Amino acid sequence: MTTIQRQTKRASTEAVFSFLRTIPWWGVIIAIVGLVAAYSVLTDVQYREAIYFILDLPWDKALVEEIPLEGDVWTHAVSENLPLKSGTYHLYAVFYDATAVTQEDTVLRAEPDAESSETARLSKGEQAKFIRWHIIPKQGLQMEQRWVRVVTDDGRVGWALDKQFGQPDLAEVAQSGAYVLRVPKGAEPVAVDPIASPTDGEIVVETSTPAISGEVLGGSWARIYDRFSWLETVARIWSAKGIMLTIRATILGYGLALVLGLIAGLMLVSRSPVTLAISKLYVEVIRGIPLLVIVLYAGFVLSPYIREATNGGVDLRGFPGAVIGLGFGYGAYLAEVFRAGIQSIHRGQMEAARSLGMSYFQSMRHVILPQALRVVLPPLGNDFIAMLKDSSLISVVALPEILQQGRLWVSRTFRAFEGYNTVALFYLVMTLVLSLMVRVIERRTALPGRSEE
Amino acid sequence: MAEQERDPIIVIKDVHKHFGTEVHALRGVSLEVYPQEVVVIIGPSGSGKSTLLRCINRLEAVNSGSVVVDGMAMDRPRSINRVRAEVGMVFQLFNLFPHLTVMDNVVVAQRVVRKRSRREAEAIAIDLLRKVGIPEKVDAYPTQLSGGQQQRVAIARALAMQPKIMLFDEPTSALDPEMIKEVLDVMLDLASEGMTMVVVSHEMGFVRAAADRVVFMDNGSIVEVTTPELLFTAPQQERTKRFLGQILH
Repeated sequence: MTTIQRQTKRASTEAVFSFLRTIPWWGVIIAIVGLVAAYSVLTDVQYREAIYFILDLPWDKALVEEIPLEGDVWTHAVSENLPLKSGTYHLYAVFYDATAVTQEDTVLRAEPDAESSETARLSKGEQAKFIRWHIIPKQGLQMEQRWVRVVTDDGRVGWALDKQFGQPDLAEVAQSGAYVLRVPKGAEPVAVDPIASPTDGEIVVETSTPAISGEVLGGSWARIYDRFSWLETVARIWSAKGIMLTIRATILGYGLALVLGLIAGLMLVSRSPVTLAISKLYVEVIRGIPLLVIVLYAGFVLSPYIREATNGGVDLRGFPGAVIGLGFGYGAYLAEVFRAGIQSIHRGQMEAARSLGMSYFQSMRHVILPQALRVVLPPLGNDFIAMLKDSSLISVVALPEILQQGRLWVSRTFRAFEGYNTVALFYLVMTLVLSLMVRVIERRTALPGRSEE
Repeated sequence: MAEQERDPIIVIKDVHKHFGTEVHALRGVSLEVYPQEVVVIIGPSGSGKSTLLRCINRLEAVNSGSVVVDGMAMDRPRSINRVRAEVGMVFQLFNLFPHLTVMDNVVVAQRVVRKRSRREAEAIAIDLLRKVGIPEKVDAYPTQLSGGQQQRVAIARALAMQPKIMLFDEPTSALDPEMIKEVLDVMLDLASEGMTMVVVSHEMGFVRAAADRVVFMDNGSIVEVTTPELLFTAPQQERTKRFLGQILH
């Protein structure tokens, strides 16, 4: 290779590098999301379901029942086995067109009966639209039979068993008005006639097993939903599975870690050998054990033990135990962060505060900690982001956070690619938003004339 | 008045101070300081001047001997804090609180230790900042001030506690020459108002103008206690002479 060639090559490499260096961080995100999106479009991958599942949507309503439509009227009756609690219910029906693909070669018949005459045939993989259902209930040894009348685009019509089709795709066509029911306190599960049409206002039903019915407004499939007030919605968002559980665990776990870390950090800089020994023991032991093991300890050792010791009075199994595990584990790291932050403040600051007559704790509170907090803000932010990611560990105690929900969805649908992509993207988006927030906070709290970039 | 002046406000008795096992910083130092007196401690570096000063408000604990300030022995954390509130200290590196404005630097200890209301504390702070000549900088942060201005804020901060005694630990040695005067002027004012002051400094101008007594220390001991006139005209000890010869050229 001649010198000139080598130089040109070096120059072009330089150009690529300098171009790469100019890409901002959000450019990288757009690139990643773009790549996934492009791949998804090219290979017909669907994320909607996965996102819905991991976000635990919908938040403002809950699915009460799914009804295959048989005639012109639908009915939903609350069973005696699951009577409603007292409270107000805001029920409504949504109607869907359902289309599905045959899983096998299928014979369409004139009546919902395997003995009736053949009207047409569908080969495997053909699409058909559902028109009406006919469900023959279980009789003795005879299993329930779910017949569905289907029609194809080219006009072949007939009845077939629904198990010959795959999972139908639903498209919303209509929605009923609301049935607003109030179940009073102490209502008994007595049978009543169904409320036949949507209500203008709230209706008090003197039963815990009310029934509603109405006209079919279209489609072949209906879902009954219960809609929540905005207050209930907010409460449900906070208590939702998936992302919200991850956020909840991270916020609460980090809060606990901050408290433990600050206390242990203050103990680490104290001169008393006892407090020093206790805090050192905590920090060294916890930092030497994988967080996963700590979470398992909290979930399967500590929580059951406490439950037993208090005769079931304090039950930390599940979420509280996981939060304690996360907080306890991260507290050790934060303790070191706080210790380093406090020790980074010049000792003249403590001397000046003490020389003014402030006690040790007053000096800490008014002079050292406000300065140390500015120093530790970036590492604290980093640890918060790290904890958000490490919160995925609590899936080992079967808590339905992002990863657990993603895994559940994958095991249900066998779509690992979409499932884990969705999980990864949710984490990515959250961590990026957080690191942006950390930067903003850092800039806000910077002292004038210092650390100005 | 004369009777009062005979009772020393600071009594240091046979104080020893070790740092680790190697350094013997103070070797049996005894000194009494009387109310309204200005005592300047001079001596070569490492002679124990700053350590002695820091023993007065217990920033350093003594290994043996006793320090009694204003009749209070500093044996318990509580009594130490009480003494410290009565003893203002000014540091070589100012040690202002960088996260607080000039105003809050002067206010914070008044609020926390003296339990003054914010309004009262701010009124006192404004008075003192006017006295040290920088009332216009109340909202500035320490890093936005020159060294001389910072040191004057530090003096105001100490004075806000209305101390009976002021300790100065080389207050001008971290300053550019043109800023030394503004700080010395404030100190001279204080001295003329009758503040009891113990100053570690090599500013001979200040010694001449304000010192009642000069203490010469070397190697952890007090070598000579004298007056400014005698110090410059007739130092008793050979070591004092040598030291003066070095710093006065």
